[in-house]
This record gives sequence, structure tokens and C-alpha cells, in this order.
Amino acid sequence: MTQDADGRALRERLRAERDERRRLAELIHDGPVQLVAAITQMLDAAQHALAAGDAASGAPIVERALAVARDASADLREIVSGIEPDALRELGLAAAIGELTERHTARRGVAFELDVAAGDELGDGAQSGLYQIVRDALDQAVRRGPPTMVDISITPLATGGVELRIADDGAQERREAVLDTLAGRAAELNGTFSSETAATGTWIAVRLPPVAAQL
Amino acid sequence: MTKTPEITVLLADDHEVVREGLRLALLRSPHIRVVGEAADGETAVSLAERRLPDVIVMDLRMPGMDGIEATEEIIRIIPDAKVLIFTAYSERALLQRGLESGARGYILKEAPHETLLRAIEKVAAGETFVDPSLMSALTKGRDGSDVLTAREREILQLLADGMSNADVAAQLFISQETVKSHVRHILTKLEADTRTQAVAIALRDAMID
Repeated sequence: MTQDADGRALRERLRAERDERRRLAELIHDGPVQLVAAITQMLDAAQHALAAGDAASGAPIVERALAVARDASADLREIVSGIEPDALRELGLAAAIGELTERHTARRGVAFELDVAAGDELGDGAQSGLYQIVRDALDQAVRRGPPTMVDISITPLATGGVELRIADDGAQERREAVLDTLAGRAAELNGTFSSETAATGTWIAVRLPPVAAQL
Repeated sequence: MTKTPEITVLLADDHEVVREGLRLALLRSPHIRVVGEAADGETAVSLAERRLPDVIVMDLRMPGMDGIEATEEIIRIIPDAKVLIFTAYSERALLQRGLESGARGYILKEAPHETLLRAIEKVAAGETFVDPSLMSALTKGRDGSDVLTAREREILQLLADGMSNADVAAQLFISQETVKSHVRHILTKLEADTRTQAVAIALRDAMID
């Protein structure tokens, strides 16, 4: 019995770690790698223009490359701070979600409705795990085409557990693999996962039992 | 004065900024004209069919129909279409499938402008082009097995990096005759394997230059 449970826990952990590595590889490939490729092409073009004495064509290309370089830098910053933000350790889950959502608002104009103060009452493991779920769910929602409005709530349950709920009004396409990843993260926390997609948007919910919430 | 014939190009990449960079780079070459841009595989197929570009510059990873499926579909509809796969180094695991899809060439997104131009011109002329830095990655099969020995791979990589036979001999402390014999073996093996014929052609090409 216990061995089975141990084996399951280990499998879940290995799967979660693999998913995390894949997530990072995909984020880096999709963001900074492409931006740097574009910068390379632009600077190559600018260098050609300048070598030909055509500063009038070269200067705006350099300016554009600079803007893309700043984008790449913002992308990298976002990836790095999303791995395990300082705010999570120093200030707690509510502040970390606040910081994460502010970045999405600043870069993509997404509006958020947050009710997550209860997150600070959770154990460190549960806070870190729920943070990853929120981060991944937002990354995916943005990738489908940024939603205009996202609701995030963390609500204590009568049982002593807790429910995280994320609802967005973005484009509908939701690949199974994405939901599987989120469900896998929930399972790793010993939680249950549910989701629904309708014409008005998508919501996901993760429920943690009391023991898991205090981990 | 001979006029370079115009080459029409279709750009397919899901990252707008990458298409922008490519467009700006190609603007420097007046004989190359971009006749269309696609952000996904389906659009690439329909634009290829409608505009019949000389060369289709194709990203591999795109949402929906990816670059490999789009290449297969384009080749099915227009058998002599010339697709140049334009890829980030992080996608090299997909290269083998690219080879089998009917593409005529491979070039890295970070390749220098001259290499990009040469790739477009060669592919437009009906030849094959493989980015030198991808050659050794392309000799590996999908199962990770390699048609070349470790030594042969090492020599192929040095040649791909632009070294001459004499440079390779000096670097590896072997005679030029030994290098030449290795190169003959490499070519025989690559040409015998349909998956790696493009690399063989590219290698011959690299050595002639």
C-alpha cells in the first residue's frame, strides 16, 4: 500500500519535473530564441546598409533591432522571475500572484480581478505549487490570444481545504496537453482538477484537501 | 552587365518579428522579392499554390499545420516547389523529419546574411543547401543512430566549419591522405543513405568553395 503510494508520488514528481523542463524549453524557444534570430537578421541588414553608405536605411533598422532586443530582455526577465519568484518566498502567494498579474497587465493589457489573500495562509509547498499552476494557466491563456479579463480566486473550503479558481474570457482553443499539464501539477499537490470551456471563456479549478493545503 | 534574375520568395513563420527581420534583411538584395507572408502552415500552402513563389522559406514549428506537414502538402500539390527550411538551432531534433518532407534546403535563423542569400539562390536554382553548422546533426537517424563513426563526424564538422583538408589534417595530427580517405568514406556512406544525400551534396559543395 505505502510502497504503491510512494511509487505514485515519485512518478508524479518526476513527471512534474519533466513538464517544468519542457515548459522552460518551450518558453525560451518561443520567446528569446525567435527574438534574437530577428535581431540578428535586422542587424545584418543594418550593417549592409551602413557599409553601403546608406545610413538613411540603416538607422531605422538599428532602432527597430534595439526595440526587439528590449523585448527579448523583458521576455528573459519574465521567464527567470516566473521560475520561483522572490516575492513568493519573501511575501507570500498573494503578493507573488499580484506581481505576476501586474506584468501581464503591463505587457499585454490584461485586466485582473483577484481574491487571493487566503493563499498566504497555506503551507510553503502548497503556495509554491499553486503559484506554478496560476503562472502556467496564464501563460497558456495568453498564448491562445490574450484574454481581456481574468478572475483568480483562492477560497477556503468548509472541509479545511482550499480551492484555486482561474476564469478567463480568452480564445477558446484549449489543447488537451495543456490541461493535462495543469492536472498533473494539481495531482502532484494531492489535489483534484476540473475545468470547463464555454463560449464565454474557460475556467479551471484546483481543490486541495486540508493536509495538502498545509504542506 | 548581366542582370541577376529575380527570385520570388514566400515567408512562412508564426513569429511576426522573425518575418519582419527576414523581410528587412532581404530588402538589401534587390533581386529577391518577398511575394507573401504566412503565419501558419495552412496559409503557407494556399499562398504557395496561388503565388507560385520560386522559394518558400519555411519555419518548422508553427501552430496548427507545422512546417513539415506544410512542406509535404506543398510538394504534393506542386511537385517542383522549392522549400528552404528556416529553423532555430533548438529545433534540430526535427531536422531528420524535414529531410524526409521534400525540402531542398536547411538554414539556421541565426545564419549570416551571405549564407541566407546563398541558400535562397541555390535552392531557387534547383540545388540543395544545408547550413554548414547543421551538417553533423543531419547525419543522425531519428533513433539517434549515426551513419558515421565518431571520427568521421568530427571530420565532417571541421569541414562544415570551413576547414580545408590540410587544416583538418593538422588539427587531428593525421596525414592529408588519411583525411581524404575519411572524406571518401563519409561521402560514400551519405550518398548511399537517402536520408543523408542532401548532406553529401552540401559537403561536396562546401569542399569546392
